[in-house]
Amino acid sequence: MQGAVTGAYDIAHVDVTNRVVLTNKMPASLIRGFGGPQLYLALERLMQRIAVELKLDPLEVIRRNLIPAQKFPYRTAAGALYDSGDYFRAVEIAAGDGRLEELKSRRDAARAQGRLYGIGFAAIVEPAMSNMGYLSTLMSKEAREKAGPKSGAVSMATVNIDPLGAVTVTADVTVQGQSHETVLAQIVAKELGLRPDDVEVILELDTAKDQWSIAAGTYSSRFASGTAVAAHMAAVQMRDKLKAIAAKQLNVLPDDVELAGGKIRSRSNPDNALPFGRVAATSHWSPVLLPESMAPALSETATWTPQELEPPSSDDRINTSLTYGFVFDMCGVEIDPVSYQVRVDRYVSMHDAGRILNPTIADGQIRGSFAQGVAAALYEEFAYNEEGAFLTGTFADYLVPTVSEIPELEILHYESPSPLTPLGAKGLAEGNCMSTPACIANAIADALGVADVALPATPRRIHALLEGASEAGQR
Amino acid sequence: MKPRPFDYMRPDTVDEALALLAQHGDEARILAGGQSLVPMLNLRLIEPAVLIDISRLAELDSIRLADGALEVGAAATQNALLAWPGLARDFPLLAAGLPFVGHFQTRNKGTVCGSIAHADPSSELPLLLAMYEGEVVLRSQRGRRAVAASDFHTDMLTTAREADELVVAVRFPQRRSARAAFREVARRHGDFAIIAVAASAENGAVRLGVGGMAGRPLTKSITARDAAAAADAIKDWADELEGYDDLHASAAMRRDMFRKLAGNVIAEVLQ
Repeated sequence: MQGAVTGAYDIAHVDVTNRVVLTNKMPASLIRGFGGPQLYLALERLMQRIAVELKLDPLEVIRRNLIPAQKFPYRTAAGALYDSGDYFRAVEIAAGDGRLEELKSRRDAARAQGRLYGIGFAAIVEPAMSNMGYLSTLMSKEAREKAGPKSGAVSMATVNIDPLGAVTVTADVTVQGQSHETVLAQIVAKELGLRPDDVEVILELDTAKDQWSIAAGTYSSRFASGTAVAAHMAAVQMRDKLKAIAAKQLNVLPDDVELAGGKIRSRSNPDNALPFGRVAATSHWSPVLLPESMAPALSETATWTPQELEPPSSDDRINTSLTYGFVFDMCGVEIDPVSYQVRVDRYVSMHDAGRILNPTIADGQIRGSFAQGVAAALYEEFAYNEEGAFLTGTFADYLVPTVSEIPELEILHYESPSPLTPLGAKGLAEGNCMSTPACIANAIADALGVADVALPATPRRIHALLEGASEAGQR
Repeated sequence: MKPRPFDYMRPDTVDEALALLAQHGDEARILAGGQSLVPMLNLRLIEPAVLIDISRLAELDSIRLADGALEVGAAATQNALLAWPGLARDFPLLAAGLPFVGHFQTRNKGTVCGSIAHADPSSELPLLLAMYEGEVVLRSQRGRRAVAASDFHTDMLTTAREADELVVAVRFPQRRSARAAFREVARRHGDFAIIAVAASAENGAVRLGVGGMAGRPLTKSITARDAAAAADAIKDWADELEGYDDLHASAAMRRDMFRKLAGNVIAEVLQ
């Protein structure tokens, strides 16, 4: 079972029934939060239905059930160990500064004019860096025993410095535009007292000759909690080695050495300094000058595997991931009375992804994920007719939203650094794929006063809902 | 996908183009801007043996006033027409409707005549031509003829053009005093319309048109002093319109959209 199946809520008991369905429809591959959108659509629609049925404020139902901050680290009923967070505080910040009041006043004003306007919320947990032990949960008990235990997640990175002082980084990710090069350069440069553009990051990965282990690749938001940590560890090892080399040449103790501004120098007497490249060259050109017992040349590899990623228990409880971020979304939508399109009027997304490694890249990832969330909520669909003919086989009918269709997004951050990784960072690039469809569906349910909202909420489906509503009203 | 192999021919004169059409007939397709034709080729929805490229025929690249009508040659692009001086003043409905045609980038290549010859029932230019009660000028080696818009568009992707004929121009008669409005609903910016509705008013006579409700654009004259008076006529017409069902809209939904959009455009022109 998925350790985070109970989402952001303090739920003591869980029972999961899995059904495997064989279909001849278009398969969907694993991408960005896969499995999460389905889980959270059901969970967050349920929270909204509970509020409607009990005549409670939907946000109040969420608040009452969030995991309290003092319970972290929190072990979920399904076995996940949520590392850190203050969900209640994050929700308060997002709803504060008049944001929720503005949403409500826009809804009231719209409804006073007879317009269809609704508010939706979604609170989700965003796991990052999968425990390889989840592969065991796919096996029967017998097969599991035969195959042996599976757990953990190994990350690797290497920092190299050549005889001219050029720094290169390689790592176990296969980047597809996530800006891992930028973040790795930033992490390594910081430890070595260089500028990020002094560091070249090379991420072609060839499993025939490069470092890799089971967990390698770019998926499961494992970069911030995994590979970035390994790179940080390798950079620290390299920094300490350079300190030891320089200490001998500067005639100071290693503890007095610092790396800053492209120089390696004495902390107490900064004029006693050597250029970074000169110290680096020593290790290659003049190994006899190295401290005793130090290996020559400059190549440091670090591997990182956290102890918290244990194998699944016999009853399938498992800590699915290492870090667990939190996302809280709220939005206002209006149904266009002529086109039956859902127009997102306001959208606020609060993220707690632990320590943010790079704010620009973080927000870019959130925007990309949000666009895909909007796509799932309102546009993209593998549609079939009653005879089983595929109706959306071209991009004229499978509607990928363009920049014109993506609404404004207000991004907020609240940082609860993870205590389980040296960088404190969690994943954040998959959250809105999971939260946004649920949040928009809840807003549509509120606007139309309906119990069932199928996604994508196309104009055709909205029209049918309105027809159903008016027919129901006539009865 | 990529198209099946075809022969590409680029005549230097209209007469050469007509000779090629006479020779190849049904086997040939005319390429102008290619904004609909090329995707259809790539999807192999059509598989012509010959493409005759008329896009660089200077004699067809013209937009001019002649005999009280704006005559747009077959090589003139949609953006060239949008940029024609005086369009907003003298042809306000064209000025209102043209920005809905595709995207800015596709209008740089797409031609006015090409869209009309393609005859997609939900595209804007056939509707605009019908609203103007314009005509299509056709030439072949057999001669020249002008066909009224209502006779030219016969059904979905079907026109009165004979296989050896080339659309050389379309003509939009000028209605200087008319007020105009154009609205449409599409899933995304620049998509084909689910439905498009146009209205013009001249001396109390209202003309209403709709694309996307049938195999071709439909127009109707309505006598109404104000929007309220037009409501019954709109409702009656909407009930008559069969509409059609596709992935994006049911027939009933199209009729509902039409009622509302028609009310809006009529209110706009009767302001």
